[in-house]
Amino acid sequence: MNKDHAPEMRMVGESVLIVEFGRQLSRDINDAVLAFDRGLQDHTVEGLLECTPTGTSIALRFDPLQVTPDRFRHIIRELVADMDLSPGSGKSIRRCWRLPVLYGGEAGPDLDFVAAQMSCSADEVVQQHQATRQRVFMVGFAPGFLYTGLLPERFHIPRLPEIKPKVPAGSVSIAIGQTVVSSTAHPTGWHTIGRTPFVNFDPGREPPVVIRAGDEIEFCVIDAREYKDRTGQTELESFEI
Amino acid sequence: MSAGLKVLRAGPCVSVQDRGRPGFLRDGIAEGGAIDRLALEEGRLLVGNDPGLACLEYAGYGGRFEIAGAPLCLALTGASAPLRLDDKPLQPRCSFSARPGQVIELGMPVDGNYSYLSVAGGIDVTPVLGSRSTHVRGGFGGFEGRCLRKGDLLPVGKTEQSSCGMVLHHPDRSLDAPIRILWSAQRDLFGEKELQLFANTAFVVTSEYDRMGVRLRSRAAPVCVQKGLEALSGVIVAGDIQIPGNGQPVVLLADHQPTGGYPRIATIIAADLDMFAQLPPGSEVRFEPVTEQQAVEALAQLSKRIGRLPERLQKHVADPLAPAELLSTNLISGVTTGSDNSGETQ
Repeated sequence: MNKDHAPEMRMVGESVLIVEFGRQLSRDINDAVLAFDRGLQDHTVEGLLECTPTGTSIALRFDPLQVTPDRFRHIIRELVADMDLSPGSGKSIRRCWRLPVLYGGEAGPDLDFVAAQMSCSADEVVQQHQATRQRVFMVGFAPGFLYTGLLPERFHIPRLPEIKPKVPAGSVSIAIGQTVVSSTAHPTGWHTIGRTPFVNFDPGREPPVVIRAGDEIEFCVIDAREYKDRTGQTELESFEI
Repeated sequence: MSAGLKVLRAGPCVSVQDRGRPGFLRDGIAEGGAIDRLALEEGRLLVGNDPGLACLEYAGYGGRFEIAGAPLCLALTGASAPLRLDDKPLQPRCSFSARPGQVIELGMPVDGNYSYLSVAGGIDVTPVLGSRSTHVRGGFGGFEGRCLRKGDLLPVGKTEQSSCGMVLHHPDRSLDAPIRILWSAQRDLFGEKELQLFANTAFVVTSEYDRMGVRLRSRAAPVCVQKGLEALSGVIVAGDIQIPGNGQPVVLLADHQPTGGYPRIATIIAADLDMFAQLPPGSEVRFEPVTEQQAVEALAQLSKRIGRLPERLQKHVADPLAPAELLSTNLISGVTTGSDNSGETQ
């Protein structure tokens, strides 16, 4: 993050401050978001209640009865100025997870459509999707629901004009150069190309959400038998990055 | 036998709620919790509960519940609703005792959408991620992660003290005051003309409402989004007012999706949100832009009012015109005391 470009700060209501590091999603912008998120964890910030990183910004919820919005913005502005948010600066305890996916068929009904959009074969889509290590930019929309990317340019295909009312938990879907992975059944406007047996959100497990914002994912191909074997498994292979 | 509430009949959306589950937004979990937080606090004070215990929230018809195991102290707060104990009418906002085998019936809220049944000891389901609130969409928290059904037996927590026979008079919450807003950080997506139009429009609350959000409509021209209508990936806050493609606003409530959605024109200030959520379908609502400072002052006032609720708690003097109520409030509270004593010696 270049210090000449101070992030933009905007309020939502009287108790959430959005600190936006850029408008266009990129790894560099996301690095700054994550570095700031990490940095905040090392500080005691007056009135701060919760930090929520997204791809390009971080939402800071604070108690406006403890610290006025003006003062809070001032504190955050100073912190941003003091921290080194350049790419790769944020020390982290991020992990890379190897997420098994059964591509195509019933698990990924839109794989052929995606292949047609990308003017290549279904095998090539799968090969390219799993060849790219993807960053988790955000957990949002629903519990444990992952937004990952960025995929190569040819994966920038638009979302569906109409929402599909329900796709099953574990669906791996793509659009606009990103992948989404669900933990619960949900409606979607994205193209579902596969399904993972791993459930990222389980309220009875500690921690309830395993893959979190800032982590990375290597998608790996499994077959139907492996999918069956790994259903219900709570362990997921990972390494520190 | 431990105390409980047996569901003989349940309305369409009766759920266990408490103060919510803050702190999990980064894992995609919205805070949730009682829609009307003032009503939650009033209810817990009426039955003498510590802060943070859970109650039942309902919209539409509530249901019939049988007291099981031990006498209970209960109170109904939030929107006024017909309340019966063994077919005898009781007043809301008064705590009352009920014996095992007695049946309470919660009718349809009349001057709002959400009513709350609090019970001394609280609805004692296992907390999930620090809260007993039901996350219906995620299927966790509350009672089996869902709204109640006939046949459910809700555990009620043990309690030493119960302050039965108390009353809290209705606060002066005006249902026709304008709802105050702060313009959204995404206001650039709308033109100045659209913001003016929004502030000058009388909207009507539709019957399309749930814990996730409320749809409004207006007789005037719809508010238009000037720039791209594509989904935005920012964090959502309860009270955010989204403008979908048809121009009819949707206000997001406690169980909102944590991120994404349509462009947001404004956010209802925290002090007014619960009041807004209680506006019954058909109500006219106007939005009044205020300054950040006014929003914070309003929140401070609300916080002060909640802090002073215990001072307003009074011993209930029963209406002589309602002998049935007098009977159940006074006589049964004697039974409760007796039972509590015998419980302690065991």
